[in-house]
Amino acid sequence: MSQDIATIRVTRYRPEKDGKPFFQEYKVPYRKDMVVLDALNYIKANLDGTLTYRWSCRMGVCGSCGANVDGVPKLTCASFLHEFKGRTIKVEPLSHFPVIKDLIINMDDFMHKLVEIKPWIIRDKESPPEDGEYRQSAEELERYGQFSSCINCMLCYSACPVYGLNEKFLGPAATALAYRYIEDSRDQGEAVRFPIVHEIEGVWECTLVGECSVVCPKGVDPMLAIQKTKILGATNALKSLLMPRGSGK
Amino acid sequence: MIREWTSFFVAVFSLIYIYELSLFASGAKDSALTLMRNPGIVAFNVLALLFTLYHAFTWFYLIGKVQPIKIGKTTSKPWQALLVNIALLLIISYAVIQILILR
Amino acid sequence: MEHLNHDVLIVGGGAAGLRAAIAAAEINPKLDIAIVSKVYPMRSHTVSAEGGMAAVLRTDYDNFDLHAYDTIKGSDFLADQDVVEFFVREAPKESVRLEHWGCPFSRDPDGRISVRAFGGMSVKRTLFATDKIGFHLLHSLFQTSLKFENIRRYDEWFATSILVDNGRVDGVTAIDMRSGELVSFLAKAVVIATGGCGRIYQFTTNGWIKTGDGMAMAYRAGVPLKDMEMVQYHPTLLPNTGILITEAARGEGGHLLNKDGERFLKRYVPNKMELGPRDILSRAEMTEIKEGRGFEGPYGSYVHLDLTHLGDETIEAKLPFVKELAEKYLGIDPAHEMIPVRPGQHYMMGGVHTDIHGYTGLPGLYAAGEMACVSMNGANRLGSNSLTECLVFGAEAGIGAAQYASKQGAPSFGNPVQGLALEEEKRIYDKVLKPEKGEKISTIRTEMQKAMEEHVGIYRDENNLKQACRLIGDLKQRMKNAIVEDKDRVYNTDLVSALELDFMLDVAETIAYTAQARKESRGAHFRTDYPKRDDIQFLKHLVAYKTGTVPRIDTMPVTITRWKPEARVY
Repeated sequence: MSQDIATIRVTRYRPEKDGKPFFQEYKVPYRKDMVVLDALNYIKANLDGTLTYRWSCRMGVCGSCGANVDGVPKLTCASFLHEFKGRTIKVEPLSHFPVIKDLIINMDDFMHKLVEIKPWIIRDKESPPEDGEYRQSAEELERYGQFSSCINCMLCYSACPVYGLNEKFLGPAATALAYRYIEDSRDQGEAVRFPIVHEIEGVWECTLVGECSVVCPKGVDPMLAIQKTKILGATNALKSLLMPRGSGK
Repeated sequence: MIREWTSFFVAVFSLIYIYELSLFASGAKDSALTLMRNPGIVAFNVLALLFTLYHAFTWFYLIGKVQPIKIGKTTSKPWQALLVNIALLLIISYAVIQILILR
Repeated sequence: MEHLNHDVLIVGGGAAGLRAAIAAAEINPKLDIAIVSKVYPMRSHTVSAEGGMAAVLRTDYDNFDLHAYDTIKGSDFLADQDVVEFFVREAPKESVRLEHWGCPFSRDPDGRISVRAFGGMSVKRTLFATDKIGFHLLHSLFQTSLKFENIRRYDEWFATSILVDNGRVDGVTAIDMRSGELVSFLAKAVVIATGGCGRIYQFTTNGWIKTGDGMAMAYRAGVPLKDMEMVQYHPTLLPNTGILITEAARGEGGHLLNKDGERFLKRYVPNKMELGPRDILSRAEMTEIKEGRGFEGPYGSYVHLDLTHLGDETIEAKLPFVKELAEKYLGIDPAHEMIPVRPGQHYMMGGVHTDIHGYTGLPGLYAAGEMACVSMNGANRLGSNSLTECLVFGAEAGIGAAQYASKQGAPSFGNPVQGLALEEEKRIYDKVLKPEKGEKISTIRTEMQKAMEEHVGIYRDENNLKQACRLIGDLKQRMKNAIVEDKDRVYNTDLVSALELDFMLDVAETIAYTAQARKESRGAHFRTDYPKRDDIQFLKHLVAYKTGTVPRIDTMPVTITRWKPEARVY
């Protein structure tokens, strides 16, 4: 009786050794409930200690383990081997990012964009903790709640063809986070964030492909956030056109 | 990504259409009509129309999701936006055909 | 060797580390603060916490003394009561601060932060954000930290040792993962907040990065590790993966059932039932399994967590992440099926000794979070106390470090610090990385995890603990001849794994030795050969000091203010 085997083809790239990336194949014992991450861990522990990849929580909440699995951006900890046709699975680094080594991508661009959109509560006046929490209704929470679920896994940037063509595009996750703060009833920072998201390379580069929302593992729906931000931008522009001396929020 | 591919069909359709118009403009009406009746061209036009409708319908649904309309306490659902826009599409198409083509 | 200077250096970018950074930045905007973390801060294991964070916000039915009493009784009276009294008073302010910083708490109809019931808490005081409090807390803290221009981050830098110069801490050495270079960080004050060490065990809720780095580094620098035998086993882990199913599932009304469909906890904690403290519940489940009333599965024995009576709506609204995890990893819909669960390692009550202000006693060194032992949790932690603890004591450590740094001159990179740093460089690149032959790291690691799981588990006894001490000692010897397969400088996770395993073995050793020394049962530490609590001999903290051979065990007193130890019955 032969043991069930899965073949994992992983992109290898060692900047100190390799001129360019190449595929390496490993055979791992197959178990029905295995995820791709289990296979990578098996390889590193038993077959090849040099295989390099990121992971931590293994439950789909830390956002470390993004990779292109059979061409689709996925979390390796949440991709079951049985989801894929056949027993050979290709694992490549997330597309649209420079590669540091093997499956490790350089995420400096995203980290920079994260700071750019000022992802913190901006208020004219803060009240001291002794005064208690800012009140927020369930309806107010719902207006931004889903957009606060982003785990920063960057699958959306890998799926976005616009980002693939133009690195300056603000992109799905960053815009969704900006929208999350704009719509938070406790935040008063529209005036600060609008100029950033309404630059040409902010929301306007988005052509509604929608792949970002398709691959998002947490249901954030960044495409929706981008379109909603476009509408905010359009209505804001109209308002300032019709009421040049009108107040903001 | 299917919606992205519709632009390919629209682009090719536009090229064929411009060519047909240029034939009419230079007086080669018969060549133009022959081309338009070509079964391959007709088949392509049908395919392009289907893709364009797919693009339109998914777009209508998206608009419904992005900008729901609030009437009193109820908020519109995306499928409602889809139906309303399909209805508008049919009405406007009918009007265009009546006024500009069949007159 | 390159050296970088900062005023306050924080190692670890989780809840405690980020809170310390913000506290230091706020106290003195002119301070130059750096956070060194081996992962991007959004990946810190804080992110996986689910249930909620406890604080007395509802003063109409709750009060500080009640929260303190719950915590002290929960700790089986090993907690330092002055620490607990301080904690419960700071907790509400920290919670509101977090809310002001944007944390999307779930809300009551009147707009106030919602509270839920939790294990060992007399009243509902656990604030929650559906069932992803850790995720929301971490992201809110991290994103808020971005607004301080005087906080600079070194993401994916792996700290390897603390630099001590004549009894004073001058900084740390750290590997820049991207280049593979070892760099010395010099700082006037250092805060370590690197989290727990769950990966010492085979079966744990903890992520890969929980390898006790800071605990080991402080231990090697001469700071004792306190209460290390107090390892928390959480009652509800998924059997195959160890993924955590939050206590909130029981807080919202879930039941634990044995093979006979019985809510067996009525025979162990009849008054609190599923909301009893974690140590008692974990032991109850193991007893049920041992006595044949558990289920058998491909991944071992388990019991059932029953949420079917809660209904789809409650689960969607209050426990959506539990639903997602059960569906994804087990193919189960918790509204209609039982969830198989069993106990497993989850948290370390023990850790680096600090005083009430996060000071370790070693000048210039502060510690906070799971890796520190103030001690707030004593022999058993109540669920939902630790996130608030990270905020309260993270802030204390940050303030302490900032105040200390404001009065210090900058350390210089002369001897002995430079010598120490160069020695560390030799250790890493010549001793650990270079050898071409040796035993696989994964083998040693797996054996360590097995040894801890089998011999320092939920039920302990002299023979098993002695065996553990011996096995860990053997593994430490074998570690000297281990091989790192990846010889690259750039992003070498194999080298990091070896250094982490080195840390883990030190920490595992302190757990085994301290457990052997405590000849009584208290809280999470249960010995079948000493099943009773012995306040006369053991109402004290056990601390482990590093020596050239095995850990030296000493004691520290427990501070008792107003609550006399009593029988711990629920």
